[in-house]
Amino acid sequence: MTERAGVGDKGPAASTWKQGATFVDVNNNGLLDIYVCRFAAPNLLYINQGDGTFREEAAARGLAVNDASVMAAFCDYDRDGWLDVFIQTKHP
Amino acid sequence: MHLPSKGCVLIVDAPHAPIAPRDHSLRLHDPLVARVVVLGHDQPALAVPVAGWGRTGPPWRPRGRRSRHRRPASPLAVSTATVISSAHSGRIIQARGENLKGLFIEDSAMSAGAERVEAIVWWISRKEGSGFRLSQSILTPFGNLPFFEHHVHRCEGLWPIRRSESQEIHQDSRCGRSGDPGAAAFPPWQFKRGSGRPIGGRNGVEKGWEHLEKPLAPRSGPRGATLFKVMPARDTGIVTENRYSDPEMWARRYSEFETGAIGTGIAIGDYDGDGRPDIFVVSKAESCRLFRNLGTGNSRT
Repeated sequence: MTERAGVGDKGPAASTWKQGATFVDVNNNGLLDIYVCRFAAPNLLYINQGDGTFREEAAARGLAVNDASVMAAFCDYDRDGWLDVFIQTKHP
Repeated sequence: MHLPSKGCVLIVDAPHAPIAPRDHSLRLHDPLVARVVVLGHDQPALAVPVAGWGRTGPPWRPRGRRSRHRRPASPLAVSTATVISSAHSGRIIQARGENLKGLFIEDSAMSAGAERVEAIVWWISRKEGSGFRLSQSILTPFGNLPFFEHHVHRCEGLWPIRRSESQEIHQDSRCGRSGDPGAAAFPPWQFKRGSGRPIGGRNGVEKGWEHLEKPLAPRSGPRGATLFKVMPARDTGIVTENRYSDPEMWARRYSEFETGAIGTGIAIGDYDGDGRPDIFVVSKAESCRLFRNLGTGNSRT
């Protein structure tokens, strides 16, 4: 299930420390996407494809934060209709 | 000057948060107004103002080296810091300053010749009531204070209560009765049993503070059925093991691991839109797992 959905990182990537996970619909298509915080590695954003699979698009969407992210919280902070994100980090 | 001291309380009165975000230590250049209260043993407390230390350097010349800093003149009156109470055994400390943003020292240790005092301080906002707000560990430059003993103090519990009826305290001639109008704004506190008699107060030095020795009520528990029930893993199929298998965790990256990267995450959401919440579990050093809720009482990973 995990592998078919495409959210299981494999090989060396799997050994990267991961911390927080958030279900969030970042592209407003009605399908929940997954944002994974990682340590000393770019964070991952799995976009829900609608067919039960995900595709990792953190870099393309500008959310590949490379830090010691712990947890991310999404909300429309400034009420402009666009989702914002608050990422708690600790400098590596 | 030799003081048979029982410990000290650091009162920090800073307009902005004085805690450096990263190393949790007070930096010398932080704008800071602080006072140190020394709890004397069977004698009035001594308040040592160290105001302005943040701007002008350490309040006392560091031992063994020439310092260009001068001890600053303090704009603070010593009497603004009042020791409220301290256990007879020296285990609980509480203090207050007039413009106190908050403090409570859990653990302060002094040793002979120590130039630093380590303490864990609970910051309490007077405006926001009496709850604990934040606990921080601070490391305070503290050289050349007249301490020659090693003391450890631990705060065991603090709760706001109504004004005390403790006869023992009232009859203690060394504890001044309340006449302080500011006392009502900051409620008195209760100590656990065994906190003992306050020291350091003589002739009304301790104003407006009383404490009550009374055991806490037993911890409450559920009185009936709760809204939750345990679902065994063999029924739900949700089995995930989080192995901390990266050897770097115990070697090169131990500091990073210990100071912030322990722990993993979990998220619950309906990713497939079938109306049933699914679970995404992060593994620390292995592949993450997505559990899809099939609605049959078990999930599939």
